[in-house]
Amino acid sequence: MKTILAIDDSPSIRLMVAHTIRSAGYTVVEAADGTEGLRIAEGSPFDMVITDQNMPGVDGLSLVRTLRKRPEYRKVPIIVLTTEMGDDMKQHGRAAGATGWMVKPFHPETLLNVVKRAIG
Amino acid sequence: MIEIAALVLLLGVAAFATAAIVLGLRLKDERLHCERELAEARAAAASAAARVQDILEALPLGIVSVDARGMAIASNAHGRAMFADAGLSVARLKAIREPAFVTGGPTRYVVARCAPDLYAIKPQLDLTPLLQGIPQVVEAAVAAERRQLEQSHTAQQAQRDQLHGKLVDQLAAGRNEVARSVSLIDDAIGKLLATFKDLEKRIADQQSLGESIVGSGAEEATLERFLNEARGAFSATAERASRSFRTLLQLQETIDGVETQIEEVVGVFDELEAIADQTNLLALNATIEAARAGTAGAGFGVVATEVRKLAERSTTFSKAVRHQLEGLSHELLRAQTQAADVTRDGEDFAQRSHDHLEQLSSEMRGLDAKMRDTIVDMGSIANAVRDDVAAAVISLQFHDLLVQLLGHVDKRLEQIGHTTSAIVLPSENATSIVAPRATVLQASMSSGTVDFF
Repeated sequence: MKTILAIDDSPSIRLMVAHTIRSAGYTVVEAADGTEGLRIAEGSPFDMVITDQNMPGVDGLSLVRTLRKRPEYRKVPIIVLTTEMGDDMKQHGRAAGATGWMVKPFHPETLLNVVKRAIG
Repeated sequence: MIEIAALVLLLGVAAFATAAIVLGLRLKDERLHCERELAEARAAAASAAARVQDILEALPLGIVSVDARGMAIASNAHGRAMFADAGLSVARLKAIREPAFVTGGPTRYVVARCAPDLYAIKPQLDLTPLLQGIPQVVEAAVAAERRQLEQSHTAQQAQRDQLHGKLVDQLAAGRNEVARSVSLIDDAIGKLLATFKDLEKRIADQQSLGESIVGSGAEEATLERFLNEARGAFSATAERASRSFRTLLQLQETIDGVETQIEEVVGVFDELEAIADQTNLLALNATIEAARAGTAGAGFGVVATEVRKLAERSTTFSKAVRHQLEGLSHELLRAQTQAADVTRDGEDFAQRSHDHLEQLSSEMRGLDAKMRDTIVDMGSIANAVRDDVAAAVISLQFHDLLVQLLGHVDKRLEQIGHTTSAIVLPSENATSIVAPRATVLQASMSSGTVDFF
């Protein structure tokens, strides 16, 4: 069973992401901010990471950059959830090494399709 | 030659006329220019004079300036009033070289010569400004004005400080309210999420319970088996009851046979009674014949009497037996009636029980079908509620957007506070304040975009 790390400081988003992915049969580990997300990610590898962008402390792009430096996360799909709609931030996300850029709010089905496309 | 000279002359005249016209026009322009400049100069002079007059009028002492002919060329209202009140004349003024006291009416005035044709007049109160001359008077006036301005500035500064303080308080209150809004929203969202989680779990439990009731067909088979077994048990019971009824019918037939036999026995006893009656009659005749025979017939008479007694006993016995048989026949008839009633009731009861069992089975099947339909409906409702909960949870994403927006509002309020301080308090550096970058531009809960890199 594939395991996904979901990082978001918003409990509502975290709940929706976790619930959606779990209902599709994936295992989900939740983190309440970027710092906790990094700690958990570095503790054990995940098949996929879904992270919020705007978080206190370590933001989403910093987290992506940090994880991409680790060999075990070079190929792991990392999706950034964000309220940022601008192309410039999207390009920052691409440059940081994000696999996908998903603008909030979003439908659970859309998230599930993204997960299936990323890790099957 | 003459013609040439005339032509030259004509040309000269024309040139002169042209030059005269040009010169005239230029002179006219210059005159107009001069007049305009003169008008401007007059206006400027009038304006300057008005300003000087304003200054004179603002001075706290009387000013009078006279020309050589004794005409006042400059003065203020105080000066003109005091000049007249003190009964001064131009000659007296011109004679004053040092500050002099002049009495006019009840008031004493001090008159000082400030310049060759400029005199200051003031009621005798303070001689110092007069002794110091006009520059000092003007400086004093300016100083007074400065003090007034400084006082005004101080008052305005105090007012600005007060307004700034109020503004800072308002901004702090605004930021506090923003923080409380975030806290309230967080709290409400936390509870809503917990409620939704609980609701979802309850829906799942309810659906699971319904499915466990409906099952996968095994329970249906169990119900059908139960109904079949109930029907079988009832049939066995009915069969046993039927056998009992048949036994009762046989018993009735037996009773009928016994009844017939009893009637036959009663018929025999009728015959016995007839025989006994006949015997009794014979014994009576024998007794009569024995009596007629006398002593020889005495023994025969005794026998005849005994025979008659036997006949009477036989009749009594026969009647007693007949009575017993009739009682037995009556009891048998009653038993037969009861058996018939029991048989009829049993058959009715069996039929009713059968009908009731069929009805119960039908009702149970109906209830079972209805329960299954209800549980299926409950499953559909649970799915719909689950979908609604999912939709509500999606809408709860407004929480994330709203909290971020409120964060921006808080930063902007902070910036407004710094900017205000920089305006009111010059020591504050407004340029060091960075405006927050807007990270939320969404205006509705419509779904966002997805991009794969």
